[in-house]
Amino acid sequence: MRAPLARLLGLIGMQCHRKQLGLEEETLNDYLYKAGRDLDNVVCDIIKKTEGLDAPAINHKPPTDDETTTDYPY
Amino acid sequence: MMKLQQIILIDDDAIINFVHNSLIKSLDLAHEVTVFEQAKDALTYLSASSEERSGDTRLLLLDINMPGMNGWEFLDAFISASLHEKTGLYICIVSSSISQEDRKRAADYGIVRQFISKPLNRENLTDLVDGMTKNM
Repeated sequence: MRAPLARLLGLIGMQCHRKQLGLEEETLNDYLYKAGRDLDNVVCDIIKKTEGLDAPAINHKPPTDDETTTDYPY
Repeated sequence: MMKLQQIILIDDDAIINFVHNSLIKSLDLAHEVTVFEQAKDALTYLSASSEERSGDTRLLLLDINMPGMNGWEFLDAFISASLHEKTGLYICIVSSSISQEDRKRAADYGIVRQFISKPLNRENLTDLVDGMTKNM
């Protein structure tokens, strides 16, 4: 579960030494973006799995016709 | 600091391999860096090269959670084939796991010298190689 975060931290650590390592900024940015997306997926999974856990019971009722449409004053 | 003959990376994560490989090269810690994305391939390689490289100072950085053969299975097979005696590798687990259970399990293997949480950085990698060469 920590893998995407570890990836992100590793890449951030490389930013300071990018020129010394001879790395293209674009390459590093691509990897950073991918690692960020992977981390987002993990966070989303956790949210989905924990939704409803220990939460107060909510009485979900289907919305009435009046509630399905919201008229904004503009 | 003494430069190692070889550092072997076993990790299915291509980005982590890229980060660790770059770091090792920038710190000039080894003459050779060999990367395996599959533990089984590393095992085949080590079996084939164990005798000719037995005198070399070699560090193995091993991930735990991998598809196919995982780090634990690799260690079991490594021990079964008596590769520890043949290769004299210094084995360090590098995992994103922060589980105490995993740390204890690694220590129980006896042949695992260290357990480092990912990612490697300049400090922990330098300390690792420094500690390794001092103990040799």
